[in-house]
Amino acid sequence: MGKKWKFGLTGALSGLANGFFGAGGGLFLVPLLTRWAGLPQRKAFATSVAVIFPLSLVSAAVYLWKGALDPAACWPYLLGGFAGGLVSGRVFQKVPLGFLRRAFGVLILYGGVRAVLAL
Amino acid sequence: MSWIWALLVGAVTGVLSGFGIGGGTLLVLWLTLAQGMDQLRAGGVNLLYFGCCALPALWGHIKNRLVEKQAAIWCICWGVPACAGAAALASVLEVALLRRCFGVLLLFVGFRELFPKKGGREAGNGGSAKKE
Repeated sequence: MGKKWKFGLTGALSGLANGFFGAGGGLFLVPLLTRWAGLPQRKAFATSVAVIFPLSLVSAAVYLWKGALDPAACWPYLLGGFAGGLVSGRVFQKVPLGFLRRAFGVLILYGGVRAVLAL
Repeated sequence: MSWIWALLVGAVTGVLSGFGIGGGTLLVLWLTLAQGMDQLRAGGVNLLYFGCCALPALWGHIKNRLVEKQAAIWCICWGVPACAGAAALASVLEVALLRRCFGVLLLFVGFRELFPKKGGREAGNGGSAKKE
């Protein structure tokens, strides 16, 4: 399969997760871009941010249209997120991604168990 | 006080989102588990939030020439219609079902993160992916 197809299918899968759950697009993007499409890992992480950004805006517009978006509840997270984003762009080249991904794995397994069992 | 917590949580998950390490997923978990928000509204907050933290992070990534343009363009071209359709579908589904489906996705991905297939971590430490 050609690279364009691989990129396209990866984007479609991550778009489905992004729109359906309002999160999780990157969970597909990074593994598929590295393992399937052969991008170097740090480029895959950075490219995933570039992809999820427009997808999130489109999904947010649909959520807003359907009345599922509450802008008043968002603003502190938006401010914090902007500050966090500024920091991450500066220190990205220096952080140990492997450790962070393992910690992330533990947290989402915990969240997954609680979500599936409706706890 | 709750807005201070929200600011702090947004900042921490914002750093991870900027790295491309599921910060948004963690934010949704925080909103649903700690704040009692339903899955659909938590997803909505995350979608707007991601726009805010991705922009400055993206600036740094582009400056450092880390964004693969061809990959990004093709992913976006296919991803936009997929996310628009999925978002419309999510808004008419029952939120409890949505949350359970999200939980299944988290279990799958969390398991893969902690117990990668033989050959190494797919994105954490290399694996079959090309190393930098």
